[in-house]
Amino acid sequence: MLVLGLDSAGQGASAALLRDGSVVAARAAAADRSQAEILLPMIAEVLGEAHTDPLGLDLIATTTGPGSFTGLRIAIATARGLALAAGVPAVGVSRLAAVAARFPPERRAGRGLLVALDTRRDDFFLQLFTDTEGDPHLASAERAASALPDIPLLLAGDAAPRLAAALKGRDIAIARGFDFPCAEEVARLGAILSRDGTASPPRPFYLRAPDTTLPRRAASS
Amino acid sequence: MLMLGIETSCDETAAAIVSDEGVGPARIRSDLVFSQLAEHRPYGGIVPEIAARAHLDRLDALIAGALDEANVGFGDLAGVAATGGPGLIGGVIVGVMEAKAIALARRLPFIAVNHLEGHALTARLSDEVAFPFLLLLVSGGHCQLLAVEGVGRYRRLGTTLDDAVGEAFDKGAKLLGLGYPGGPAIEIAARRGDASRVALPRPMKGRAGCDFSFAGLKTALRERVDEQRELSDSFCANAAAALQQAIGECLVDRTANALAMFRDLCPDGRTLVIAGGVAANQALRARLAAEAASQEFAFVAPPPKLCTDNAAMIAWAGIERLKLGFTDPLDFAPRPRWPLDAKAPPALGAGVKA
Repeated sequence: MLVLGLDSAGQGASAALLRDGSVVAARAAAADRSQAEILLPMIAEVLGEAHTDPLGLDLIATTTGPGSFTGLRIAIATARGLALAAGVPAVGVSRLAAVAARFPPERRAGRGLLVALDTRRDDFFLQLFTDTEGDPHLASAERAASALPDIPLLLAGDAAPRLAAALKGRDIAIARGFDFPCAEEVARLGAILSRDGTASPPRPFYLRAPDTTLPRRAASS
Repeated sequence: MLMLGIETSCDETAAAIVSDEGVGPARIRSDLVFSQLAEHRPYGGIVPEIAARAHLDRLDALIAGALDEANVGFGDLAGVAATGGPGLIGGVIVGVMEAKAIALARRLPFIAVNHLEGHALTARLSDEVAFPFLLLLVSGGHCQLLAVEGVGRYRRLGTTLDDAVGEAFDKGAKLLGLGYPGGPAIEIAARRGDASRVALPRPMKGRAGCDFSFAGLKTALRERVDEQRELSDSFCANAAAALQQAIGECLVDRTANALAMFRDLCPDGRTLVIAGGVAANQALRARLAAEAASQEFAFVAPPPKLCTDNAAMIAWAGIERLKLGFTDPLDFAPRPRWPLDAKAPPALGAGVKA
């Protein structure tokens, strides 16, 4: 099974090609070049390195957010265009779930896993994984502190250090060993979702409404 | 040659299939436009983030629909063209990424089309207009007079120094409570009004050159509105008629100068073309047609459906560019600002409208 994974929902961009769970080719770049410029050439390179093309893929998996609005649209539009033109199924993967997949229960040392992603503002994209899977949500540090259950926590994700600083006095450990962009993780998780029959096509997962204010006297028609 | 065109630079999501075989609009095999009006209307204008989200939600289905309606598959295409700018960048990015992905998947050439070139070349799709011609490009984001010498060859003769003409309509309609978008609302209200009852200036009229300015017109209209104790229906109709008449006189005066400038530059050119969303206004078309006739120019205004934003014009510009060997690489970066005449100096205060 040949799976292409994509991620550009945070800083930078990455593309990875996995055959039966093993990385065949991968590219990643930091945020110094625009994601809209680098993503397609990256995909062409990983496919070329594996001597295949989009028509040879079995699955395309992409992160859908939460993250940068523009960034997540870049990967989703790309995944959809490839899927539509190559006739290959595409699946969406939450970035929160992609991080959580790297820290399954046996790697949490008995702690609850709290995934915290950067919003480029003061707040956080959060999801708590204990015996059950909490709802993904957006919260300030204060609200997160008051809403979290009083259990030892393992913090993961690119905003973990920032959130840890705001949760002083609690029993907290910070998980290491996961960085965005994360195309490899996305391809792996996409394949699992697809195998389990729980995959859905990539739809944007913004978790934040657009910043708008209605005019005081709205237009009449 | 069949070309897929994609347009996502403002508030219309559009996909079309156009062929180079045949004559006139018959070359358009499919032309789907999804207007986001309902999403933006509560805000009285376009909200960029809402537009970008709506483009992504709709584009897939529109592309599939355009192929279906034209009864062709990706394998029948000669290329994929998408608006690469100028426009609201969040939307442009969605269309460009989807187009580049399709191009990669089917090993097709990708053509990044300047949205303004799409408007500019529409008259060649609808009416077989030969180069060179004088173009009056009037839309919600632009107001320019250009000598069009060939594909990719534009010389800007004049531009707005502040607002685009479509903005003048939108802002005027907002002041009069006529709703959004303003162009059609003003045109309809103006039919019931008497333009002589509301005094408005004609900015730039009588001056040399062919630059435009509409900010003063908006200010004057606000003053007339503020003088009213209440906005009666008859005042609004009269003000709409006065605004449309003032804009029309400005456009005609500036275009008259441009025709003379164009005749010196391109003695072979005998056609005035009007394009862009504001070109759908019937009253303005009639005035400009009369001015063209008085200077012995042919006047071409594409059908209104091809004047407002659409993807058929993008596919057509893609055909014209591909035939000349102009294609773009997969690392093409969407451009929020992309003047047709790169040598023309930016106009003060006009932003992307110059």
